[in-house]
Amino acid sequence: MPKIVKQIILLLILTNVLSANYPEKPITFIVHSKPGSAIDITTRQLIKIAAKYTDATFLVENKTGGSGIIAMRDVLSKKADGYTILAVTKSFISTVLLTGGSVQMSDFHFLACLVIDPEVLITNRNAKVKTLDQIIADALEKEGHQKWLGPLVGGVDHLMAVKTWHLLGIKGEWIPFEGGSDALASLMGQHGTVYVGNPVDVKGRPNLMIAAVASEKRLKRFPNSPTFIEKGFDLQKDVLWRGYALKKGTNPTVTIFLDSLFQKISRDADWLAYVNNTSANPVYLGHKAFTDMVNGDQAEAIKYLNLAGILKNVKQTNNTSKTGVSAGMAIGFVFILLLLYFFKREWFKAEVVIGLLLISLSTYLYWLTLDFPQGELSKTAGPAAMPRLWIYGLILFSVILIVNTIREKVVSNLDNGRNLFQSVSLIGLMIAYLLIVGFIGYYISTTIFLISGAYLLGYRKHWIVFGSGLGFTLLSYLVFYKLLQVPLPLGIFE
Amino acid sequence: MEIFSELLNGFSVIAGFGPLLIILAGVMMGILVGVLPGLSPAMGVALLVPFSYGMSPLNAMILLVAVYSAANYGGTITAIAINTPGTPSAIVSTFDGYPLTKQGKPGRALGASVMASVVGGFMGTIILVFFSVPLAKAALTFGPPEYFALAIFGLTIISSLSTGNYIKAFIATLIGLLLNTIGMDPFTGYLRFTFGFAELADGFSFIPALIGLFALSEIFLSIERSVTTKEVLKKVSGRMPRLKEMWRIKRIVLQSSFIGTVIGVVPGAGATIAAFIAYNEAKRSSKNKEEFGKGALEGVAASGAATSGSVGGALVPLLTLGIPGSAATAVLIGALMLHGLTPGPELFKDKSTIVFGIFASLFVAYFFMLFLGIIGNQLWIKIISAPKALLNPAILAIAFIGSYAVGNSMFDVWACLGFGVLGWLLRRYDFPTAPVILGLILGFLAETNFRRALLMGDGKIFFERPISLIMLILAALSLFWPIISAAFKKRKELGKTK
Repeated sequence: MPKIVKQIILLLILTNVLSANYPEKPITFIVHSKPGSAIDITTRQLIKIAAKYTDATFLVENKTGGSGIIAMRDVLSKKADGYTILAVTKSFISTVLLTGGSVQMSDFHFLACLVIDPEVLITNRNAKVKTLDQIIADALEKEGHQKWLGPLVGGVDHLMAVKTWHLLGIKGEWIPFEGGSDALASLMGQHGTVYVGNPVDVKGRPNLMIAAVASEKRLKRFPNSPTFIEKGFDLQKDVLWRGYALKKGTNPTVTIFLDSLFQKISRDADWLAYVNNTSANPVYLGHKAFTDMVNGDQAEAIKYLNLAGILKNVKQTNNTSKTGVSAGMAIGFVFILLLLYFFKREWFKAEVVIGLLLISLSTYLYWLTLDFPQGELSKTAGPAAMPRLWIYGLILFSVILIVNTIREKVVSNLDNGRNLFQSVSLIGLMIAYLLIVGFIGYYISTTIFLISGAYLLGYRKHWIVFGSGLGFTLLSYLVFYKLLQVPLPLGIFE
Repeated sequence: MEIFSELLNGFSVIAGFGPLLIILAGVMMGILVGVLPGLSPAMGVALLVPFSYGMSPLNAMILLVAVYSAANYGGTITAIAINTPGTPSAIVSTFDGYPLTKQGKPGRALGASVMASVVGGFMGTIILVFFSVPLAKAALTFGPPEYFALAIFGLTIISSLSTGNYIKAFIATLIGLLLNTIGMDPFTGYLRFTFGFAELADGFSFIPALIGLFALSEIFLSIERSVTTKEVLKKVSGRMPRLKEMWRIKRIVLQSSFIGTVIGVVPGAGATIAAFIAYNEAKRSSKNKEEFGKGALEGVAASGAATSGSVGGALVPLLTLGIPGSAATAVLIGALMLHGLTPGPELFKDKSTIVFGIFASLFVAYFFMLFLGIIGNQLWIKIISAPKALLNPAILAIAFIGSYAVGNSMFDVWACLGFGVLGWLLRRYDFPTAPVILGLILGFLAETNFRRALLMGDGKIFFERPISLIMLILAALSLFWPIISAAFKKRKELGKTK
């Protein structure tokens, strides 16, 4: 225990020394979604405006995947030195809750929330059901079969829908889409009744209208759209927010610096114009207010995720005896191969082995699907339905392949194998390459890889080998790093 | 005709030195982005969004649109030259383009690709200018059942991708479909087959899979099969196809451009599905079916034309409905908003100069593309004439960057290598890899829309709606056609021998 304390103290002193001149190197914003997404563009706009107030250099790096979990883990894996800032949105709460505890919202120090966007219900102007009253009447009539469209299950918009149903005393069916715009297209084509989103979604789309707004007052730009509270329902502070956070434990000098920077940005005229242009509201919530909002939203998200029966699904996963069964199946597979090899040598052909391998793997995957939830949300076709269909197909065709091979219908006249050794060594070299990139970075390891690759493949003009290896690396530096600003791993040189 | 005068007006606004230079720069940048695997058209556009901040809205948009249109073409270059599709939709260009390169005729393939791409681009733009409103309306009738039927129809293309052995092609498709189910189930949030890897929550990224299955597997296999290790491409010819030859395949080029544009309009379908379907239709309607897959000029042209056609198509829902038709147009929406423009029908009313300026710039961009493409081809031919021993490691290094750039993650690079080894093993035993990709592309479209449609109605919904019914019938016919026609042939031959 004292050892840890010592280390912590040492670390604090170290970070204190290091952060005295903060910022002295580029500060990276980690964005969880693809370039061009709302939060990505907001962040890029932010750094453009930040340049007015500080000489620090800012970069944006997109760490996509897992609805934000990859980006969160990336930030947590770095030092808490203030050089890595996470762009956060409300959707991270669902992500954290649904991925079962490897990352917590409390691992972060919430710096500032800069944008809030009220949640609204959107309907199609040309449809029969378009006002809040009509939605309620129609929902009661359809007895839970009214179709609500939006992004993925468990996300901010879905939870908003669950909350709305709960408070309005109705029930609907959530039809999830890959992204908001797909769901909007579906609403425009009248494949559903209600879309849960933000005011920006009706901008420039005259066929759509806002049926109800979850804010305290009517929105300035949409004076004809009523609030929920006017209609007697307590949905008045439901917003999607975007802000910025650091890894917890960052030195106070850093947070003070960034906090004052964010305050300046939040008052900047260009920033206000940009945010207003996206139909959202520019705000400034400091550390305390932001953290309170996150905690409040998290408590609510847990409540509605439970109500929707989603958290239940997450907990169902069990990891019992997975390794045992995997090992058993692998042994079974090898056993069959051995039997074949010793007793039916004429059947021992590549296609038969591949077929058997596919059948064993398919059986194993089928066994895994037995654990898949049969949740309330998947009453028609659950998460296991499609994988099982493909597994059945794979087993069927593998059996046909084996039978055909044995009956010698499949004639494979391939001439492989002359240079198998070289092929395999190149694969090995590539594995070594990927392993050393983490230590010595892309540029050095690529030069080494290119040179050794050329020798491996039998090329012996030394000057050309070295020249082209270095030339390629230089070219990739100029094109990717300088021109396109794609960050490549630098290993220990970072 | 009001549209013509508006279009003329559009040409007049871009007819300055500045805008033309911007278009030229955009096309060059787009070709570069397309050529580099891992940098998709969407990423290319996104990378340039910050550059466009300081420009006027019109200049910003013509820059981004030029990048988008040229990136789709650029992808076909590396597909043809080194079997590495630079963009997902360029996969189809590898089918016939790379065989032509292996025969020492990369000039033919590259030339056909750029010419067909330009025709496709022109056709897409013309359709965009004149028919965007009715097309956008039609696209909205596509609900979940229709998307499911489209995916099933797309899957039937395997019967034309397989070279003889249907069983192996089916197995390869099913491997792709099964790989596609890895990751978070979109309907319940349950993590399927992720084995504890957080990186797999969204499944395997598509681009690393693509690079691995095509480029890496080709390198491993070609090294294994090469006779001498110092083998250099014999007699590489940079000769372009003659215009006469292109004229002979005009029907296929036009047909593919049209298919590309129309499928590009449907949000979420995209250039890749368009290219696959156009290729399939080209093969089906061609007189030399046996040539396909071995270096048919028609195959290269069909892919290029459809890919470029889809650009104009994808801009239809963007400009008329404010709905992105592809990943790149989703970024364009963000860029439009940055400049205070709201995509959608009001844009035509309030800012018609900008809209028609963009239209006009597309025509100019395709003109520049033809020019740059023909010059650039000679450079590519030089590169592929380099000794394989130098070229192959360099391709592997590019594969590294391409996979890494997708999500700035080493996991994707490892996945790329894994797919490379998988592709190599499959191809060693004569399993085609293209169906794996088809399964990866269409699996998600099929599954989510199947389940979405079931949430909306019961199983009958697929057969009650005319578009979905027709597509499903076509799919069934297309799937079993080889079997049916083979049976007919056999019967005929039997009759003859008797």
